Amino acid sequence: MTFDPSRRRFFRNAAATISLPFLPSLMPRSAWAACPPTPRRFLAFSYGVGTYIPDFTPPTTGPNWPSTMILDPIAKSPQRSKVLILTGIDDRKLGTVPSPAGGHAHGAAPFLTQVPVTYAINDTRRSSVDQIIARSIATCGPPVLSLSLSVERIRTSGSCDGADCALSDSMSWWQGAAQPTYTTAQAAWDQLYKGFEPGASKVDAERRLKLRTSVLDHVAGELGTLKPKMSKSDRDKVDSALTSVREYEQKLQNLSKAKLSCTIPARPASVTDQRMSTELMMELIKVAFQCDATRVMTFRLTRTGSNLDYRWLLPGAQYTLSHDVSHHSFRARSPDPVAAAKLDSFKKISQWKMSQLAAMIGKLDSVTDSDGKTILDNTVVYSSSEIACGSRHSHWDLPVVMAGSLGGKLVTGQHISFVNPVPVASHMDGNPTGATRRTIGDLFLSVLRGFGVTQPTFGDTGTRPINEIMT
Amino acid sequence: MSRFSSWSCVLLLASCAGGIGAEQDPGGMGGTGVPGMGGTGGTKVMPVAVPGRLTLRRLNKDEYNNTVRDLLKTAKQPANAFPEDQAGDGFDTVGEALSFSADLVAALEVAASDLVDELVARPPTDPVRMGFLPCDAVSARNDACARQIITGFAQRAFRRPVQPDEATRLFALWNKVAAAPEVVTAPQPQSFGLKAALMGVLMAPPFLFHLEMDPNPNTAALHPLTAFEFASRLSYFLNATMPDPALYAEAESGALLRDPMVLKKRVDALLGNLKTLSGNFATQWLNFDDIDELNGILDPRVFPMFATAANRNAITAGMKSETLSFFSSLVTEAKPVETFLTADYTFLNGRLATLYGMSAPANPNAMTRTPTTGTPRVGFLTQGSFLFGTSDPSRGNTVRRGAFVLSRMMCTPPPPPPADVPPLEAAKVPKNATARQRLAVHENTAPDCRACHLITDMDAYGLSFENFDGVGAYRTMENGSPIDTAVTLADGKTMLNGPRDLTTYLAQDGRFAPCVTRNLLTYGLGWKFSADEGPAYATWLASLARDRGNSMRSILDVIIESEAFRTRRGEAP
Repeated sequence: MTFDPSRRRFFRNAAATISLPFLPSLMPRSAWAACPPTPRRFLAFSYGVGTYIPDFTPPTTGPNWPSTMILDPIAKSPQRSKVLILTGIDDRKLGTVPSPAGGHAHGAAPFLTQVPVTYAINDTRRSSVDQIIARSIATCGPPVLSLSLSVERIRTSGSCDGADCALSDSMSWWQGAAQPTYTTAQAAWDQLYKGFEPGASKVDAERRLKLRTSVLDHVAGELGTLKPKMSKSDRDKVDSALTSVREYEQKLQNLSKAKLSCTIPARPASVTDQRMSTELMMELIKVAFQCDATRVMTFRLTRTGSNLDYRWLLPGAQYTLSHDVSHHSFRARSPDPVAAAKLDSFKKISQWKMSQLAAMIGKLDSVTDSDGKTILDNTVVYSSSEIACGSRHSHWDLPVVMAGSLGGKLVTGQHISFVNPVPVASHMDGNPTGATRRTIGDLFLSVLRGFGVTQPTFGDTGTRPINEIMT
Repeated sequence: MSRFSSWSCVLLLASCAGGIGAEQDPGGMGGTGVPGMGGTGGTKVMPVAVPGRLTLRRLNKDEYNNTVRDLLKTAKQPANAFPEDQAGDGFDTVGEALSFSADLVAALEVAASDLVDELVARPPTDPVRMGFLPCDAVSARNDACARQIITGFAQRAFRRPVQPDEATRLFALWNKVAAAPEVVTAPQPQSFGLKAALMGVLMAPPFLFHLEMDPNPNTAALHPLTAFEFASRLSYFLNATMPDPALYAEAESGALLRDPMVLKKRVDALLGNLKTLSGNFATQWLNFDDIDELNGILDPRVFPMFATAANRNAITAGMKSETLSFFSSLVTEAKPVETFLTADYTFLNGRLATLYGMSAPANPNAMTRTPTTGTPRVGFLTQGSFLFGTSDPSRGNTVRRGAFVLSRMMCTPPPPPPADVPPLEAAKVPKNATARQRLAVHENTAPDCRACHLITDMDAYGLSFENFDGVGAYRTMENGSPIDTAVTLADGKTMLNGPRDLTTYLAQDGRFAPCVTRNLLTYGLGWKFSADEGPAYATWLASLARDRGNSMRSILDVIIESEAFRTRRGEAP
């Protein structure tokens, strides 16, 4: 095999002799679960510019929820019984705070954090659910704590919908630090597998490992020496660097012990085409879970506010730009050919996104896990968008689709609505109220319980887990 | 119309009005304060104390690459493999936004290891190697030599003298590794110690961060930077890299802080290379990222000239190069800063000349300074980087052009568009309407949204550029109708017709120079302005620069001499 001759190849050989300093936990140890015998996994599946609620939301609840135009790929999939549709769930408390930012940024910043866009970018409360999960199982063996992928490129300058771009384009945060997002399957592969190349002799490997762990210890020590001399904001930055060093040490330790439950897949080809890249990344996610290379991933099918061109999906259509057609406007209620044409395109694009979600779920269900169930069965997939209704930028009735029961911890095979009757009307009819409505933060609390993490609140919206989705 | 919608438009109205007033009003700037510094004749006093404080920031990817290039004379660009940087207020120099992660540490470790390997693999007579490894501490243990190597390398890498305790800990790291049971059996155990110590330097906080210490971190009182800290700020501001030996020597001798002539000559020297200031600052200020975004989705049916990736990339590269050459010329030449808007020259290669409908330069492959007198082009706002970068895939975007002028040139951004914007082409729009006609229909369809479009002059600014299509080519007709660029501004009096009128107006409007100053302060200091009184401070600095020639260079000088640039503060706990 021809592989990058990385120095990291020696990890495996040196397994027997590695002894790293004990790593202090990053969360109260009491909040953590013991390692489960079979891996438990989390996948966030996100897409931009919302959906068209009247053709998304099934009009009735229960296991026999009727298909809708946009959800049809899910409804017709073999995994239907492993899917959970949730209606009447929101983060509007965060989405409607007045600020210089627009609706997309308002939904994107709290997407997995439930921390509003208005908080300082480095506010240490800004931690995402995937990162909390990843850290709760950091010592359970997966070499890579978590991995974030995006099909579209990440914007690194300018302003994104009136806010700093990282708030729009980075899904994963730990204590105010944006975690890296990889925008090619190749780069993601490198993060997952480069450390597993057999190579150098054992004695050489031991020597070099001694060298690098000593250097990392030294760096941690230097950061620790700085801390007492700094003000609060700077101390937080040093803390973030220190945490990162410790986590990298943890990764080295995990790599030294880990046994991949698979043959390392070939490094993916370099592609730029949206659909090919999507396919490669979804396959990479499946195999990464299968190999137990990581247990926590986030995936952006399309970016916050995405304006990709869907000419290939909409032959002959005049309007094919994703964000443009999302503003089909409910307000043009009179028969308006332009609004109608845009809505038609938007619905088809929205349906395509659900077909990709169905494909992702299908992939995870196609692989047998170590306990004889499928990977999907031991996973929870969370899918939504930064807004509910593309045209309205609404932050309620978010299009939440979940899949997998996390090893039997979560309910599947249902459409559950927290509002009766099911709200299928257009979002131009106003911002609804209702005491029974639940928040995304509540949902994340429930997911965290499934991982054995029992924190009392989540972000600015989570106060009590949702019993209806927990077994 | 829903309740939410009305509420949001009221809010928009209020913020549209407030945004402009706040920037234009110099009224709140009297009062007493710290005397102005540097060449202002002492007649002005600072209207506001230096606002805000700077959060510790790490080197960004460009700074890392440049720093190791200058430190180790390496051709490697290790940071290309680092995770993406994060921007704050649009710039990748803001400490609040720049994140650390385990992946970054991993990449930093690989980079440090590769760089040290490259250094020690240089031949014994190589000057870089001789400079950092002047004695042999590898073939046998040699403590004196090891200490000499550590101190010399760390001092250069840290951009300041090494503290004795830092050197002691690096020396301990060397010996710990060299004496480790795994290592002592190696042919040259000391070589492992050397590598550990040098990697320790390249991963140490004083190397990886712009480390400026607060003597009293828990008080907000301003204190002056050390000469070394100031030298680093200056060097990273103007060249995005570590201080060169001459600058370092001037910091060491104290002349840099003491002697204004020494500082001036050093700034002259640093500005001899404008590649990084234009390539790092101007590209972010002017949203070059948007050019790359659009490049990938441009509709080849509408713009056949851009049909192949090779053509697209060549033309957009030319557009960027045009604007960067233009920006650099303004830093070099003592013209009023508003010349950025009103210049009667630009830089063209053959491809751009063809696109612009101008005659190609003698050497079509070189960016050549070309007068635009007598052409429709004037200043930056008729350059491709702006006209193209703000476009939709199939046409220029009038509103976005106006919004760009407001946000990037004037620093008075309009609020984001409200939700549920009706499609521009409503049913009433005549077939083949011009953008102006479509916009008029849109405003009549949604009168509540006229507020921001008209009060801020956003539409008027945008309509001024209608003679340029989505890729920046000149046109007089749109969809078979003649283009009309005459506009009346929100004041009801000012009537403009086309880019020359508009840019003349904008040059006199008073918002541009403070806006450039503000962007340079954010970029140069990593100063996130949004939450404090930075804009008023920037306006004041721009007024000082106006008295000193009002050139781009005078703005840079005023920033460098400012208290904000020479001090920092802790923060109350």
